[in-house]
Amino acid sequence: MPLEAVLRNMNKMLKKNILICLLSLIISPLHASEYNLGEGYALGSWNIAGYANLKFKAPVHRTNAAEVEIDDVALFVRGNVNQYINPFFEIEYASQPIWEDGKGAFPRAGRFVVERLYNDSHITSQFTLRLGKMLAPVGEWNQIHANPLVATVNRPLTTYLNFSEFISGIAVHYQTKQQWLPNIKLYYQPWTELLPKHISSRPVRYENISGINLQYGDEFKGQIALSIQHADLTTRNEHQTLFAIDGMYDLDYLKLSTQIFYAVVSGSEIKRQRNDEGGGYLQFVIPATEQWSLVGRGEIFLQRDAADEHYNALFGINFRPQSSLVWKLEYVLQRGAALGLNEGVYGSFGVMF
Amino acid sequence: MPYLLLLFSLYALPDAYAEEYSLNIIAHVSVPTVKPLSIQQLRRIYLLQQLSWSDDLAVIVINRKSDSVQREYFEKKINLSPTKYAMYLKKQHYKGIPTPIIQNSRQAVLAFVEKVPGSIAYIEGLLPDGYEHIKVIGYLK
Repeated sequence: MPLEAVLRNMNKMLKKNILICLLSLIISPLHASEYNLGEGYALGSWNIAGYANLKFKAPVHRTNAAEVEIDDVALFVRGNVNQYINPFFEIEYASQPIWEDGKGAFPRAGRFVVERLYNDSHITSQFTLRLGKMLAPVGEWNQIHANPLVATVNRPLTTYLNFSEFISGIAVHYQTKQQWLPNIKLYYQPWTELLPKHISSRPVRYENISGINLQYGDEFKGQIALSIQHADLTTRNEHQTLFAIDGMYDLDYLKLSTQIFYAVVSGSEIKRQRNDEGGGYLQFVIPATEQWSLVGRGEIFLQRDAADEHYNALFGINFRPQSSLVWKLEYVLQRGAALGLNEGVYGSFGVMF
Repeated sequence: MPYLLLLFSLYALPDAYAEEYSLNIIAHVSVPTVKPLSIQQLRRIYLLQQLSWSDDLAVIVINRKSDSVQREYFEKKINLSPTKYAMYLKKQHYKGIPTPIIQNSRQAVLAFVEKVPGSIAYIEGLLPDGYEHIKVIGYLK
């Protein structure tokens, strides 16, 4: 049997088994400790948590329909059994339209997506070995992308477009004890992605992925990270190496964050207009009160297939009555190449549970 | 002059807040510390940047409820904004890093630390007698 067919069968079996395990965990007669919103249920060595995000969009141009949708409902389970067995699993039900202009209520079904499925083994106090499907450490946003944790309804393109957001393979994490050394994450994915998202939401697939992430500091003192990722594309005749720098600095009255990248692309893909790609964003958040904040962002993206550059700018407000709940409203301006982020008004309500 | 006197009197006021809520940092006896923990070490532990004491002993961080006086005082002393710290913990939780376990009272904290190796916490007041598996490793005033 060809490798692709074996992987497809494996993916189907895994999906079934994951659902059975999840259901048995939920209905098991364990007693939860006192529950606090956003902290999940602690069941002995296990913690079950999740988040939900309801989103609406009203694009300016009639080519894109107004819509209210359940962007995602995610459940994540973490176990801390011993030094070597620390599994983590996240599944989400994503992109379920509740109403769409011209199509009415529930015009189509959403999809289940397995975001993460891995085990951590703490080899020493500083080295952790991770095996399974995980989020690629390319920028902070990709690693904390749940709606209640980020400042805007829409993700900057720089944080997800044209690199592999997921790694299905092996990773080694080194956590430094010295202030002047970075935390290091090294990873490798030999084959195609385990349980990939539907091709319509992620049309480009990757394999033979290797990468490194070096990260200094934290968000209280200021944080900066360098990420490098090399990958072969399976849906295009291409190979690419991406270099990204991301960082954040909090001045109390203003929080700045950024991510910029440059990618070198090779291979004989005929759609490609140039052999490199680049972009970046700069975002500010101004906390007006404990609960209200203003957010603004500008982004530029020069995509490999597009003749023109893409520009977008965003202005919005957030209302966070507590750390686990957030309402967001924003306006996105867009010029140049169309890369899936359309001009219009967007809003969301996110909750972490 | 009256303004200067007022300023002086404010400055000279006893720090009632600190007296009332001074905290002892306690840990299970398995925790390998020799010297008292510094504020920097404590901050690093509560930011989940140190996840183990040794190769086979994980750090189990205990915290109080977010609206408790003890936690408010603790966060102030280790220079963490409550709002930012709450968001930070949610991000770590999403990343799969075990976040502090919440205990609702001093008694609950003592009972937990007494039986769980690797655990660290803070309590108001002195360590009472009868807890053979707990040691004091620092002090916040």
